[in-house]
Amino acid sequence: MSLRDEVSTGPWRAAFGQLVRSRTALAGTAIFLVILIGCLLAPVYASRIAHTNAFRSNISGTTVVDGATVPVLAHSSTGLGLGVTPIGPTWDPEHYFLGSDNQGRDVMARLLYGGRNSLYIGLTATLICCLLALFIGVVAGYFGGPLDAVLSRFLDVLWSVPVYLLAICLSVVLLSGGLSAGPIHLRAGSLWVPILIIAVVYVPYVARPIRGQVIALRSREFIQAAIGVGASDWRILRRDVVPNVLPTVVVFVPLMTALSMLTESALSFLSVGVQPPDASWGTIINDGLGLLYTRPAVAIAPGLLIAATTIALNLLGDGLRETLDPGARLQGGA
Amino acid sequence: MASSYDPNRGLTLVRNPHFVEWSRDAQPQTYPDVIEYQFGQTVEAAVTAVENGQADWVFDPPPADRLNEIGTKYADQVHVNPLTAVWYLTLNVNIAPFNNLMARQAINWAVDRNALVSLYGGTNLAAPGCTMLPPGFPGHVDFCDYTKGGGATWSAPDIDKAKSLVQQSGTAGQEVGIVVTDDEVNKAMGEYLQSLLTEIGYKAVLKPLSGNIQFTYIQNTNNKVQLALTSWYQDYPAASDFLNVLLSCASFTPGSDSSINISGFCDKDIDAQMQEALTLEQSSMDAANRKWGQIDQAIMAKSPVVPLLHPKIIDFTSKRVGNYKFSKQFYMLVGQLWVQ
Repeated sequence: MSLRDEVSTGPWRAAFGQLVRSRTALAGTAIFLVILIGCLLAPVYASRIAHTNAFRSNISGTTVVDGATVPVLAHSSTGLGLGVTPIGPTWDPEHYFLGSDNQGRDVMARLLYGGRNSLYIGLTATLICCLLALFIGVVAGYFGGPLDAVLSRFLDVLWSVPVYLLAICLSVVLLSGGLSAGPIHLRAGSLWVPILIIAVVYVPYVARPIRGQVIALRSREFIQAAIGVGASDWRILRRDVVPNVLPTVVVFVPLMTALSMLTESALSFLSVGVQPPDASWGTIINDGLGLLYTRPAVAIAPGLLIAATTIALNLLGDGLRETLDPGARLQGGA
Repeated sequence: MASSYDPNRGLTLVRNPHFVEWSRDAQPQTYPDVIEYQFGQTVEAAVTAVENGQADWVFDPPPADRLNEIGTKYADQVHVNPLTAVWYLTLNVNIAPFNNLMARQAINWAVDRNALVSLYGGTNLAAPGCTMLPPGFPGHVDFCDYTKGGGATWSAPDIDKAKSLVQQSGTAGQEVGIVVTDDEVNKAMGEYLQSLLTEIGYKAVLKPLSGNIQFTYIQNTNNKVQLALTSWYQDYPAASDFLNVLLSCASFTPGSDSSINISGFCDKDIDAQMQEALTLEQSSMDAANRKWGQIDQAIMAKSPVVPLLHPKIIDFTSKRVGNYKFSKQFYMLVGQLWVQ
């Protein structure tokens, strides 16, 4: 396809056309969709296939393995008879496919439910973060002056604190008492607590490149012409500035989603993210930590899913960057 | 005597050159010349060190996923002894929902002690509890007010009865905060309790806190703790160390971090009986212990606490350690160990 053809079909459509021709981006999208759909079907798996409640303890329960009824948590019968071991993977989707955790809960069902929360937090935090960053970056970059100085120093201060340290501090405060600010009321265990924390701590990461891009755009001829003919700031921002920085934001979305998910998993692993009985991949790894010697699958399975999702989103993000970022396209020769 | 101490690295004890054995029963001469405590390792690493002969004993309880391994491969190095202790739930009798007797009794009926024994490490490491006084302890009487089908010992929970009591109490749907320490066993028990309370009709919220602050946090009434998981190990072998210390009016100090009557339970009649038992101790320990047994039952009728289990202790020693001695009062006698 020639450059003339691409322009004639519009930049977004041309980018989409190029994206679907990228095998790595397609592979990333396919992996992500498989994981997303699997997680969305968690209630179906739990109620129709495994017949289990992923959030209720089942310590004294039993299940069926090879036709025999066995306890979900088996008391040791060898040696001194010390310790209780959860059932391991049965590879039977109806009976503890990936085994049980120390509460007697189906690990597979919790993985799917946990994935819903991890993806929900990752995607929602990313959207909020990108919207906040777009607003701050555009306002700071376009208006400049004291407003830019104040906003930029605010971003500098926020970014100067290590992300995880800041996130953990905010989590500890909000998880003990929740958040009550004006019309916003969050209970301590709400999923919105990690969502808001992750969204806020990564705002500088997205806002600073946007601000730089807007500063460069503001000196371009078409913006100067719009100012010259007396167009209002609102119109210039809406018609000229935002559409030109939007591709950057779109490129950030999958990359930030992966980063948000990793942060959520880390916070939940440290017990300052998703709170029980809710699950996320991070909390399941935490649950599996105490079973590493006897049932490593409990920790390994969510770890693999986090890795697969992160790789998939990064492949998609790279594909988007190649199609939407002209600089990258020139360098890559695409 | 201590020859060196670094809070981050360890403690070294050496033989006191001035010590003279005046009574072998009271204070025998020790065998080791030097005892070195090393701080800072994870329990997993410490267990592995003992298995490999790089250390001789683990201070902390072995983690749950290593119990089966040490109980089979290293059985001759494991020493299990019953403790005069109780793990129990405190129900705050002064704030909702547990200012309602039926709500408190519902929790006692609902808790599956066997499930908690499993989370502690299994039936060879703990026994289900019905009483505050541990079995074999002065004053202990076998009775169990809250077991399905009745009996002197606990057999099964009665969830239906618990649900019914929650409904009758009018407390269904209320939010209950469960405060536990954030170590593996306590947190697992907290998750079980959260699931159970949700099942019988409450909105349960789990609040795991660092073990460094949880014990004082749950004692202070300003923190409005409704339900907490805690434990008590004997200071001295007398029933008063459990019942008078933990559940008398004098042990309840509102607004203080040092209010060991965590439930805030203060019953004038039971308090008078405790005074009577304390007086009896001066003339007849048998009569006093019988009285303490009655007091234990009277307290459980009011249900300010939920006895869960009576634990045992594991000492995991290296292959070269010999002469293991255990005292109910002082636990493993480190000074009596010898190494080859």
